[in-house]
Amino acid sequence: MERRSRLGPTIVALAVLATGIGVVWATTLVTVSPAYARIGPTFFPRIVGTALVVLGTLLLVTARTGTWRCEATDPDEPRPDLIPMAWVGGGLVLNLLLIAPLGFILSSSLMYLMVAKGFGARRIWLAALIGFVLALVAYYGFAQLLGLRMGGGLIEDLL
Amino acid sequence: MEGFTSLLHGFSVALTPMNLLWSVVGVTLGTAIGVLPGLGPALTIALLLPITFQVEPAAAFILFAGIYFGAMFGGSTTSILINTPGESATIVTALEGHKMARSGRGGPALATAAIGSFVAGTIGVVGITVLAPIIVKLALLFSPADYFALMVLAFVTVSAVLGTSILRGLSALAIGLFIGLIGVDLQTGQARFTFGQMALLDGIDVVIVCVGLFAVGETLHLASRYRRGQDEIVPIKGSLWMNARDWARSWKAWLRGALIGFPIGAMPAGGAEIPTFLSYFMEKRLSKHPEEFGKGAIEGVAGPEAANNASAAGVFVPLLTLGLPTSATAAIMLSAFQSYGINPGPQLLSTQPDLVWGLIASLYIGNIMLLVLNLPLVGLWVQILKIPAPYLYAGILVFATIGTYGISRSVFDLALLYGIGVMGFFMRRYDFPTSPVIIGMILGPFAEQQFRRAMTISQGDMTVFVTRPIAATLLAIAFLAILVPVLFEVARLYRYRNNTSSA
Repeated sequence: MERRSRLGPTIVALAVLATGIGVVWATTLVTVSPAYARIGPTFFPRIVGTALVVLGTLLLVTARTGTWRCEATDPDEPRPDLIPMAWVGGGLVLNLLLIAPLGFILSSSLMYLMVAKGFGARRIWLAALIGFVLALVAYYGFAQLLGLRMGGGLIEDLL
Repeated sequence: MEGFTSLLHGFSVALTPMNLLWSVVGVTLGTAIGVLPGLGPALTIALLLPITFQVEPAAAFILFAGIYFGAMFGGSTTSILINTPGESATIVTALEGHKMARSGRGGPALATAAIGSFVAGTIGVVGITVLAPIIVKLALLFSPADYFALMVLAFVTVSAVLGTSILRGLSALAIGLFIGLIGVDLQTGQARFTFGQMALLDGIDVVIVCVGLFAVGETLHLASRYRRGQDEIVPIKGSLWMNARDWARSWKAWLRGALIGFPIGAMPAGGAEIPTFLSYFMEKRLSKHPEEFGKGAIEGVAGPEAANNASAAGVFVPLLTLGLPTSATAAIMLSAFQSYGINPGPQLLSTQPDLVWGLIASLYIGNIMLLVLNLPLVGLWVQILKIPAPYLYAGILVFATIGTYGISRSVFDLALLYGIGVMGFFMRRYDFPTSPVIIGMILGPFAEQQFRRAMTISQGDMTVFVTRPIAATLLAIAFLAILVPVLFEVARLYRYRNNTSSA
């Protein structure tokens, strides 16, 4: 328990610190014309980057002293349930890979199925059907109402 | 009383059949998403932002305002019946309201919440009408340096004062400010943090960040813990109506709640949590039945609900008069203004009277609609809670995908969406507030612009922030808002150490 309540916050604090260092470093890559030398486009980024470095360092202190109270460090909270998360995460990754080749409707129906499975849906065929109908209706609904263009795809081209 | 003549004009805008229809759609949609746990008004409005390319501004804002208020009403229904507050502002409602529902008094709890919200919403609209023109006169005195100081104050209060940890709140804000910096700098045309990616030149769309944090992050978080047990919906037993005693105990609580909520909401600090907690403790002290608190005291629902709604109305004052959003939802509305090319600020009331007063009038009309929608039809809304979790959350992710992929048809944006979702998950796990990210990314560029303007006027002289009285005062308050809690904490630790060493 002791290890767990310090390791997580330490990693998060280091991530904030690393972001800050990254911002400060990336700011040096922005070329500034001498006309704006004083308060140019790099002034604010440098402040934000420095703030992140300082905040990351202070967070690291709270992480090491064990005073960071949250869900992840609460000994009464169980560890995150990885199996449902894997289904949801897998659904997202598949959608990312398939949305361009298959089109929105098929790809997102598949994501729907996997997320529903992750949340404990028992009847897979029903989830697949609901996902497909929802994606189809949403495809047209959003296209009509909001003027969004969802692009082509296997199903989209048939219609 | 120029405000009230303008408000009358506002009603003539809001009462046109088309705008009434937008309001009905808004409050209905808002109630539905408010009832559903895990969905909020900021996310919904973000997903609907593309509508700003289709309809005129007044209609879009009437829709958004309906969603905003509807979500408040719907949220209280959920916290009373299943004790899972959808929003932090309804935590207090759940304290007493859920106890009432358990002891068979769910009907009166829902009624006092709905009527109280209506009363407070009405007081809030009157408050906006009176206050907005005054703030506008004041705001005209503001120089860019003063504006910058005001924004710093808002940044500090929304991120550091309201959360559990100053450090984590400010970190969330800094991340938001960084996201806001990505893209082409508007003053010099210089690309910042784009890493050679064409897709990043226009910056990261607020829809992606909002939907990523609130939809994808939230779904991942729920997936990590849903198997630990389902929430039980307490059925509404007995009469929906309040008896004479309920009324007698509620009306003062409503008025007090509204009078606490509106001024706090209207301050550049904003936030609905503080007024709801203040109202709760006030009612507990003033009540003739303090022993009932914790077991289902009706004042404990009436007061905080009124405070919540009044502060939600108050948030419109800094948004419309100063262009200063103090909640994630208000920040999304600010980006809707941007999408129309409208700059909210002191000029807004005179340049866009139809929009502003139509919006304020629609808040009033929306409140009446919500009362009708929520009291007699509450049974219908409870049905929404019965949507099985798998279908609901899978559906949310499909809508999240449409909302981002539909705008740009870019797989890069989709990857960004899911990546920000993962960040949102860790922010929930490690208790970082998410609203400061949204407020930082939207308000950040405005703050930078005002800062540079101030520097141009003062010819690079930084002392302008301490020599101008308004700016100096605002910055001093912001500074104290961070420093005082830190000093208290240090003092507490010091005392604790002394006690342990002497013992």
